[in-house]
Amino acid sequence: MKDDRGSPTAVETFARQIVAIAEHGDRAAFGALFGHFAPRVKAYLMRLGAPAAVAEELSQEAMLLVWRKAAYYDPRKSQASTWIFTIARNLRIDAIRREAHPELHPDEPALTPSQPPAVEETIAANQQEQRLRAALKVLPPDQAEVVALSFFADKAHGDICRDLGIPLGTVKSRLRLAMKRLRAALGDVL
Amino acid sequence: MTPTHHPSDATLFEYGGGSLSEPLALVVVTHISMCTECRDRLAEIEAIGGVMLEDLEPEALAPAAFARTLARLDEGATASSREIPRPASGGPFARSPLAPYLGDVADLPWKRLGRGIETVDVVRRRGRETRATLFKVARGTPLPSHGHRGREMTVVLEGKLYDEGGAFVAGDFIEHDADIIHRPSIPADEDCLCLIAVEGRLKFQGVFGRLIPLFVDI
Ligand SMILES: [Zn+2]
Repeated sequence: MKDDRGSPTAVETFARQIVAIAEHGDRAAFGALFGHFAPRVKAYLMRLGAPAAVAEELSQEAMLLVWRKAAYYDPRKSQASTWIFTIARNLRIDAIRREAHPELHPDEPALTPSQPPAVEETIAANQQEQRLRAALKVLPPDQAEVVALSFFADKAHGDICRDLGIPLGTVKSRLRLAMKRLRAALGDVL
Repeated sequence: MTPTHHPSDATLFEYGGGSLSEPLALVVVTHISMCTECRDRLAEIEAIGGVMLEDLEPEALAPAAFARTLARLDEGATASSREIPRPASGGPFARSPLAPYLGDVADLPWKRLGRGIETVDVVRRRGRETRATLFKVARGTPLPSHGHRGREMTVVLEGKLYDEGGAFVAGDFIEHDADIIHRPSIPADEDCLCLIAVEGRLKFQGVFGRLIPLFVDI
């Protein structure tokens, strides 16, 4: 899978697999998603400091949530990786930090599950992931560092700036500049 | 109406990355629920999170992991998700991210904090010192000048609030770092409802120091 990682085909396949779970409890699709994402969710949790055994358990729980919440996934709005990232993030906050991650209300019109999307509509933005990955690769290292820390440190930026020995304003401006570049790379894809 | 004051990119990265404490995150997402622009900004940040997840070096699971997961699925076991019970619908917060925190919105436990000011404790975390509070302030009520031990984030829900940086109306988001001393105020002709989250106790000063007993819990 490594070779076509993030390719439009792979991205679209994952999205279809989530939809297949929602539509007819497709266990083969679930197995494929599990094989790809569970080891990455485990890596994410370990990167954030969870012991391997805890990360193992929680990555299985995260995949159970993928199964349970599949009907809420809308492939027109997000990539499979984005959606599974938010599930893993929220589960970690719940299980490890013992807090909730407040979310938009599920009855928000923008979030209510709609009719299953037509295949042609699926992943209108299927190149988004490739473009983002390419843009992230060419971020200046100081910007890339604070972006990565935003996801993998579980620290407020006030603590990150102390760790890096730079002013808080610098952390903020690096993130602003990074976001500007990434947004430009996405163009009108989003 | 479209808000014109938004969270910084840094703050959205904290919300999207998951490092923001729950009370502050609640203020941010309440703004997002009122702001299509920030909904798009958040989608971009979460998409970055997806790429980051995708690009991590995978950590192999135990050989029986998938079989175990399927077995749990068949048991109908659910994760220990602390999904907050959905309150009865209706009321101004029915479809707000605040809804799960408020319970019956028709019967909020408003607490009088002083003349013209009522509050509801929404959520407290981290030794209860970081918290989000609903404030209902009657028109013209003076507010105390204060400093912070931590950050303060506010979203205006109804009415208008004056603070550093101008006038803020429904949907607008205001954030202050720990080092600022400020004195928000309310217009003379309009009540204000807002959600404010702070880290650490406030530091009051000046003539309003005498109000400290009233504000000792905020
Ligand atoms: Zn906004």
